Amino acid sequence: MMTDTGRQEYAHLTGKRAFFITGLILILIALAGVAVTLGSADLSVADSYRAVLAGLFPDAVDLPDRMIESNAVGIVWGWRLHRVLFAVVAGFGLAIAGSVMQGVLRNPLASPFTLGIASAASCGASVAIILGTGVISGSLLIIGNAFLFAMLASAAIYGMARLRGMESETLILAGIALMYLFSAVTSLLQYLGTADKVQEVVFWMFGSLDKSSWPKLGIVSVVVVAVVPILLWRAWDLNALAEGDEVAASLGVPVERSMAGFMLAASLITAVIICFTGTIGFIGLVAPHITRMVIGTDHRTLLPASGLVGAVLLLGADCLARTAIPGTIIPVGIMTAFLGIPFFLYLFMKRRDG
Amino acid sequence: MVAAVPCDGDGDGTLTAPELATAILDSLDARYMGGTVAAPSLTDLQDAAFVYEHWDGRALTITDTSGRTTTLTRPLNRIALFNSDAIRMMRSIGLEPDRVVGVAKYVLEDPVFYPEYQEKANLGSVWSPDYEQTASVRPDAVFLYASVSETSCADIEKTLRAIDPAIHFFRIDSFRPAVYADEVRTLGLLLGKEEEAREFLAFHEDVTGTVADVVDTIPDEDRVPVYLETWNAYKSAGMGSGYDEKVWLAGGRNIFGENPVEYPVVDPEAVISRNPAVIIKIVGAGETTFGGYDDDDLASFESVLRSIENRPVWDRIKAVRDGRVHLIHSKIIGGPDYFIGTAYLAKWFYPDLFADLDPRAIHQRYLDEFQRLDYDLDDHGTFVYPA
Amino acid sequence: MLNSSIVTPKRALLLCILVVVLAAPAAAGSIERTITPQEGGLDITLTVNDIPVGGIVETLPEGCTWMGTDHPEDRTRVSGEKVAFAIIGEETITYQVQGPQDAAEAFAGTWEDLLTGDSGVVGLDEPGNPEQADATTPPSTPGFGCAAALAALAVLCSRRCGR
Repeated sequence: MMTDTGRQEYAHLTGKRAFFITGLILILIALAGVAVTLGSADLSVADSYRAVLAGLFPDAVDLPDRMIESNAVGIVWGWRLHRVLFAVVAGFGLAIAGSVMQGVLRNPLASPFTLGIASAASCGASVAIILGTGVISGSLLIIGNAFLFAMLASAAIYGMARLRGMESETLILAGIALMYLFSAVTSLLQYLGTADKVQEVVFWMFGSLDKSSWPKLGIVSVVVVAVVPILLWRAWDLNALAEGDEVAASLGVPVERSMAGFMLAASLITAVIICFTGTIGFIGLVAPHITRMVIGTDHRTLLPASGLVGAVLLLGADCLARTAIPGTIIPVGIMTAFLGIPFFLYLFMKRRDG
Repeated sequence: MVAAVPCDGDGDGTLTAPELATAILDSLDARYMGGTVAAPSLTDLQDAAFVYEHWDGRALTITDTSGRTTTLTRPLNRIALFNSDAIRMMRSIGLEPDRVVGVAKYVLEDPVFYPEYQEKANLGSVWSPDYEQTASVRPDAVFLYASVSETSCADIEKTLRAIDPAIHFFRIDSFRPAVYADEVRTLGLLLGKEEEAREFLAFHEDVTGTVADVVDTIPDEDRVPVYLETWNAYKSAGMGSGYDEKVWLAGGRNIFGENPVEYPVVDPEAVISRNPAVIIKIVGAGETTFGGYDDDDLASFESVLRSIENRPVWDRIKAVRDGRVHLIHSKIIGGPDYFIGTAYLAKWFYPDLFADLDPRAIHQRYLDEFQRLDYDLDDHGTFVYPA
Repeated sequence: MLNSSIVTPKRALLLCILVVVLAAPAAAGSIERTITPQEGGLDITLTVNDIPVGGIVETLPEGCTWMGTDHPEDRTRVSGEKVAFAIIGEETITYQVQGPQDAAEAFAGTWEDLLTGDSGVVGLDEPGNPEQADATTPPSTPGFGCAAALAALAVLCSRRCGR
């Protein structure tokens, strides 16, 4: 039975959530608008937007000569635009996967990477690059391997958890073991590989959006759009799980099946993103934390909100990555790793005061 | 769908002399004689002249080192190079710097060796390409490596094609002895420099042939055993590495040549027990960043040489006892200039058999005649020690 | 006292200028015109140097009438007082005009090298006929200019780099 103050607080919280989410959407749109104008080609802001319009309505827009000469439309539509959208979708997906993981494992420092998925994907990529073998030959060699190994890792975790019990401690231990295993294999491959192939592996592991393209964006979007609504629909179960297995079971949540389902969904989203981009860390870790600090832990709003925070973070990091050193694009995974530093410093500081 | 050969009046795919003549006359008429005929643009006319002169008036179908074929109907005048070795090969056959619009960042970081390319667009590198810069210089051709970082090159090609489908892509290595001559010839045909390519190949084959003629007569078991060390201490070159190949070409036998790792870290005791007759140390990067075209001081070479000779128990090694430890800079043994380094190696391995071989003169001629650089080896540069 | 074995920036610059001056005339193509008077007209011979594919536009002086040429018909076009020739591998082009002898000085022409993009004015060769001896002073040929530049640089060098 809610008291008046309770009702007031709840309304206040709801209002805060709505405000936060709306604010994020606006920031995201503004950031995307800025991101489209950034790049080492000499395009003015107006020209960038003109190019976007010209791609959408080719007959309606009249292009000045300088834009035709510099192939502005090609640059914006063939390079910038899908990259910006990819950053949004990837950030969204990674953050949601992170929130789900943290909920399932009841550990705020969990992320898809804690469970060895990133190391597995790197291992798969190394096998493809250095040994030249993989599941799908040709141009999809690295992508296929990275995805496969990532999913194998999550299957292994699930298998190990079925054996020893699906508790968060078990999962995390299994994840760390897998992480070390895959890292060792990757290191061995790097030792045996030729110099230029090792360079390729290292660059893959940095994590970058350079390789994005419209088809890849399509694939990732399809997966995210298919999986995320299911997660949102089942978000209440996640709230229950966060309280503990017994509590959740008593609330009627099929604990083991739910955990497995959530794990699969989070792994799938992560795998499909990082197989294209390489390992981009910290988004799945930082975004849910920030969101939780503002709007609390109700997963029904936490999931979409942290998704938006993740999108803003990754897009912001990519903008920085493209402009920090003129003429060079720093791999975005390095930028997001730098993001982690102030975050953990903040946590450290907070801990001392608390 | 291939574009038409420019000025091909009857569209039959061959530009004949009468068609070219008509195009020239129409153009001159329109520009100088007040004519009102529909004349081809000057660009079209110049492209037609090129196609007639170099490609027999027909579209050129050319296969690059990776086996890909491309069909061209126009000369390449806006070349973007991610492969910085290829630029030296193109320079050797006289490619005009004007026809290059973008280069890899390593070229821009070396103004002594590439003075005429310092104003070109910076394309980044194969592993970290700057797509926007590349796209905005509107290249008509992009050159990538054939056997280095194939996935990165594939990504570059895919992405650039999405931005500008009109770009032609070529993959050449320019540093592998096995395909060197073929690549020079292919480039000569592609760039309309067949004559210059022949001249350069004559020079190249003169050097490599002189070495090969002598080396081929040496039975395998009589080859000089060599320990080759790369930039970092105890890092040798194993099977399949470029340096291993060059030791072989120069008549030596790499004592770690059966090691499956490309650059294995070897046990110093293994070197002692295998007792090489000659030790070659490659400098220029890693732990030994000195030497080359902008370094005139041999002191660093000297100190590295002493440190090798002073390694514990290494004075037992034949090479150290006989004073046959040599340092050589990577700039003349890796890359398209490798044949100069191979000449040095051959001379060091078999000084009696190669008494007349003068690698330094070869290097100077290469710089003067083919790299078109104003650089005097007497005054500048440190590449070998002791010579 | 300058150490002569070091290439100072100034010396390098002088050397570069020297190289450019020496290199330029040797690499570029050129066309020279020789005019031989005939009965009632003039014979003009154009000598093509190093231009495998190109074009020439000659302007005939007033009073001259086109007579003919031995250049292929499909490579020649006459329009009023201008004649266009397409060069595809030829080394000489001869044509005849009817007109007064003193029109010889008034010939003008431009050429284009379609492979290198160079263009220029058709030069006047040393006249072969002694009657033309005191015609207008011939424009300096590349060789002469080069020699002059060399001499100037040599003087500069000896002054700057004096030991």
